[in-house]
Amino acid sequence: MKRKLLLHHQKPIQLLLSWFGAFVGLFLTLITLQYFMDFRDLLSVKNDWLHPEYLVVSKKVTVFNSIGGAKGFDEAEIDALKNIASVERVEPFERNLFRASGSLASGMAPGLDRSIGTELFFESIPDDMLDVRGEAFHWEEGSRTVPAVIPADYLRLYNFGFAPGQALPQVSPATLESVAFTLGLDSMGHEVSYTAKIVGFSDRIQSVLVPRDFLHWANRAFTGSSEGEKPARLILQVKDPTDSELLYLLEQKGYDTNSELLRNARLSNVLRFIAGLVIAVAVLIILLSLMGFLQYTQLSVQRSAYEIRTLLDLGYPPGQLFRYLGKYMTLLIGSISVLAFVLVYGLKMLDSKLLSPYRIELEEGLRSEVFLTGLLIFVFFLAIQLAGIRKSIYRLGA
Amino acid sequence: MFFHLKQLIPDPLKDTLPHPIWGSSFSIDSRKKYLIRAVSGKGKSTLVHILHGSRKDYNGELWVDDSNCGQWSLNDWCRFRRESLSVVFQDLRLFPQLSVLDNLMLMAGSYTGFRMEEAREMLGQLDLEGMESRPCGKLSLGQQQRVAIVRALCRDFSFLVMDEPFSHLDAGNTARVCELIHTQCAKKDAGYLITSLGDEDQPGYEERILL
Repeated sequence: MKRKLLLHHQKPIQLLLSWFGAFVGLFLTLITLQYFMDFRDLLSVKNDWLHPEYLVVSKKVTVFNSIGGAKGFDEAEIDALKNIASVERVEPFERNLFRASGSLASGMAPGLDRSIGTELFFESIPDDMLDVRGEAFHWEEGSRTVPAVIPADYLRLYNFGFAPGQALPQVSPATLESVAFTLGLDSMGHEVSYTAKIVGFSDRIQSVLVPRDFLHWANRAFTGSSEGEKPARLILQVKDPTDSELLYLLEQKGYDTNSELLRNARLSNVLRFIAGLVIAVAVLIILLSLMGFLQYTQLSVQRSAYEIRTLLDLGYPPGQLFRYLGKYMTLLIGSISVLAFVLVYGLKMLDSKLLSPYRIELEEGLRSEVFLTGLLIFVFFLAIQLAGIRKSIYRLGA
Repeated sequence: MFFHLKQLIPDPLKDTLPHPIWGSSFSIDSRKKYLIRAVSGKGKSTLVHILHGSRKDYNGELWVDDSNCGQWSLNDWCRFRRESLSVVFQDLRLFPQLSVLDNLMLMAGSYTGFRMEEAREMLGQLDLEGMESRPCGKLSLGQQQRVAIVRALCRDFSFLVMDEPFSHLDAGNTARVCELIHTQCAKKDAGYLITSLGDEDQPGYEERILL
């Protein structure tokens, strides 16, 4: 009877439309937030102490600065990088200041029927920043064998590019590690022979690396000078390579980096910007749609003003009226929230199938932030609605 | 129960002084039977609405026994309307979309002393038998007025206030309604206050006030 009395002014089509509008608004907000967070995590490479991220930074070589040799980083430039909050550590690449060559005589490697040799350069970084670990990458003064780490890409280039073209045998990493190269080092006009052994392959550093102890000793011993030069390349240990302050500095200074991370970072930032826009639009939609819904339901209460006022005139308890209308509104807003959650959850269940062709794997299930946001929106709008109903009842009874 | 109107003057009636009710000390004994007669615009409905608590645009004070009604909340007024005061409004305040029976039963859970059988009996006495399931909006004004009177009588109350309750009734129906009112009020040991334009002159009133 109360329904017949208090809700008979409801227009089913209008109610359905306003309900649907609010549902779409809430659904859009939740789904956008869910996927925004999913994709943000997918693209942003967060650092932790187990998996630090590294960037190799150098100055860009252009037509103008190539004359007279590449410029290195001075103290001020290194400090500027160190001052960025997301940069944890900056270390220079050190290089050999003497001429060096490497060679391999015929028969020294399986299938090698001729001698090969090349001019070489070495670099070194602190051992703990290298992605190759182990006792083998260690040199002590007096040792005639120098361990080296080469880029994994060099071996790939050799095996799949150079070797087939030159009728040379392909070699496995283990084979290459067993080969002893002859290292010719120029000591102020006299060539000194050392043996070089490859002890690892790096995916992080695109350079021939030797232990820092060896390079320090060799630079001093073979050039007679202990003075270094400005580092041409730096290795940065960073908390978050997508940090906008870092990206801005790298871009502003024209520094070059070979890291894929920066491409991801730019993509991630673009995505964040687009997702931010979508979220802003979604929030606007939800505000408009829920406000529209609230307006409609408040209007429905106003349309029942005669009935509410008359019930109060007859002595009907205002608390009971409030509870009845409150339950009805809770049911309406609750149904909007529950269905929005169910649909978002359903889409999340489906997304592993939808995204599998793109080889994208997102976190499963609803995020707690999405759940919390939905709950907050539900509570917020229900509170506004209930406060509006209570105010209407007491104003009509006044 | 007593209503005390202490120097109470409704804002729209400030210019009507001196007056037997407004601006003086006037008390209403809930066990007595009052007839307030006046032409239109003298404040009959205003008095009913002030006693009912739906008008508060006045100076002065209204007390019920030793309680100042100016301090009452909406909840207090609603409780008073449920437990003590029954009113027949001039505009009846029925729900036209509900049937006669639904209009009567609507407050069944809130009022004490409501008995459906008794309500049906009263409908019969007022010549409304067989109309229980009709929507009130489909009844004539006279029939609606009788439904509103039955709604006011079929419950417990201490005092009954009726604002021109016979305005749409013929002489025969007025007599039947008056008899029912007297019987029911006597049963409940309650008094009543009836406002009238002055056409009716039924016996039994203890106080007749001409405004």
